Amino acid sequence: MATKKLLGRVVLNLAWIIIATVFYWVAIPYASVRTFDPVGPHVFPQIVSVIIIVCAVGNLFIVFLSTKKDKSLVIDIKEAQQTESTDFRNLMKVVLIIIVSGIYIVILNWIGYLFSTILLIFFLVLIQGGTKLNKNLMISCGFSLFLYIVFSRILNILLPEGLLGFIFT
Amino acid sequence: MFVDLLQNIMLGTNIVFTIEGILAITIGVIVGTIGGAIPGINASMTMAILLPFTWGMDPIIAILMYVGIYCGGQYGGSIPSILIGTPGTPSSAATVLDGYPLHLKGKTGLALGMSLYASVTGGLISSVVLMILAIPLAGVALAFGPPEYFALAVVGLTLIASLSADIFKGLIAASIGLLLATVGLDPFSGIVRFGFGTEQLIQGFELIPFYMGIFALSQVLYSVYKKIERVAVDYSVSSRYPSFADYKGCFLAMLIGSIIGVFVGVMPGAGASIACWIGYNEARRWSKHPKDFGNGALEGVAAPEAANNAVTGGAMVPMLSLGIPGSGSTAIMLGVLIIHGLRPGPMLFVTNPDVPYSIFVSLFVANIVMIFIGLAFIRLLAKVVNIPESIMNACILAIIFVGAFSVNNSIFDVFAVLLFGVLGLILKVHDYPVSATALGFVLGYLVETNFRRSLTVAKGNWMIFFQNPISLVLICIAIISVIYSIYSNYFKGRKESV
Repeated sequence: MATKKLLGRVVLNLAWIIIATVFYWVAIPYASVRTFDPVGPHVFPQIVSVIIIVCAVGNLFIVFLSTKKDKSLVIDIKEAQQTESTDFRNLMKVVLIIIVSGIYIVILNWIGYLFSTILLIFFLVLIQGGTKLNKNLMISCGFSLFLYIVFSRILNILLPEGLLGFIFT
Repeated sequence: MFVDLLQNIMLGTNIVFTIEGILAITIGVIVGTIGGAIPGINASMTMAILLPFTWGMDPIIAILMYVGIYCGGQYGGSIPSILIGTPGTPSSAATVLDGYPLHLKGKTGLALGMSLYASVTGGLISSVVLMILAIPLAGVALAFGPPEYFALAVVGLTLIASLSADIFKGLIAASIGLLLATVGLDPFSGIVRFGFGTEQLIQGFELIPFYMGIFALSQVLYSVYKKIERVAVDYSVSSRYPSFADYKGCFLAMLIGSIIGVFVGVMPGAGASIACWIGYNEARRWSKHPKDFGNGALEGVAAPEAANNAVTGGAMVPMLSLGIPGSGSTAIMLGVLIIHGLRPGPMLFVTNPDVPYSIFVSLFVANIVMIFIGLAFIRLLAKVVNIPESIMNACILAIIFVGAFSVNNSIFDVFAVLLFGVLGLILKVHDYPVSATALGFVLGYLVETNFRRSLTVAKGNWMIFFQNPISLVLICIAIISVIYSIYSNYFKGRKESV
């Protein structure tokens, strides 16, 4: 568990370094469009990118030092396995929520707000568990309709009607 | 001068004491209290979720509602702290120590009532302090030029970064916000930066999707990831409410909490979660019965609740007078004003005095409204704690997505929310301060334009930041705060996570 956490920190800091380097690199050509200001549009993002890189390297250095220090770390294997499985289950739920949300965004314009939101709420409750199917369905339909009335009728916001738009027109 | 002040206060009073004004504050207090009462939802998240609803509102009415949410959110957090021993918001963590034992002793009404009275007392004191501090500070800030503004924003960012558990993480979080703020049209040359050929990125990322993703969506995902099993709550509020004698007995604790809350609130990055602990500890130190603390002392509820609500007025001082927010919640309030074309800072007192003065009055009114809302709905609010998390999360996500879509009728904004939500989750899981990212994003434009303006004025001479005494002092504060944090984080032993 501890090793996984350390690995996570290393990966994240490497990701910061890569992202900051990309921003630094992409900003280089902006120097050519410098107008009246002596700095140009490239300097500020480059300074910020350098700060991120320096801090991420600092973090990696700390991770390196902590691995050297914590070699004698004793971990309760049973407890660690239990925590790990709970963490993994919850992580899977989060990943599923992100996937369902991504699908919702893709189909929102296509099948329309109301039905895609009913499906979204239904699947989100299902993923998290703890509620009966019929109750889940009632909540999904009821809350989607409530939001539809608030946004579409009260706030006059045009929501995507999609394939089933004829129902509302 | 005094006549001007009175006239402006009257102007604010006239705006607040309208049907729309009072209604906005009342709705804000109710929504904020409900949000605070639900474990895992805090004032910032509630504010972020409601951002799309402010779109069609008058900017002042919208900000009045947000003042109500801010106050209500701080108070609401105490409800689960007392009923289930789990703080609704981090700023109510200290309330658990004595609030929960009081509930177990059957003195639930006493604890909830004292938390309400203390919150109101702290809020009222802070609203007076806000007015006393913000107006002269704005007067001083009127003389600020680009180098001072740049240095001020840098101090705000470094302080919030250095107050996080790890200075490097704090600086990375703030820098990510700054970097995201550079996406889109460059204000000086007109070139599109980091657009990566995407048409939607020409104008950069919108504030609303950013806030909704980084504060609200990330919190929902985080609560699923760090799922805490909730216990069924006995929400019967059976015992009596506090009497005047109880209030008088706790007044010193409330006063201590309020003073600390205001002071901590003014400091960028500190916030209510720190104020409640300092308030609790100081109240225990000054109490005649320090041994009762931790076993159900009423003062142990009064002090942290007064402290966390007193932060509201304090935190608004730098936001209103300097345009530099010191916390996530005030960053969102700043965003609300920006969305409606207003730029908080000293000039706001000159160009739009109705905005800051109506905020002063509304903070006062919101705390009065809170007494009535709290007393009338205390039993109902206690039930909110029992709403299943799975249903709550799903409904919040639906509001977030439809809210983000409604801003520009754009699917891209909904994708942006999801992107920022995932970013916020990653930051939270790895203990990066999300509020630093939010501050970096909202201050990005201010930092960069003043940095470049300063150098333009100085014809490229970087010494301009060190030749001006105010900017020199501010930059020294920023450097010292970073160096001290590095020293205390890695050489003096790691600080406890805040």
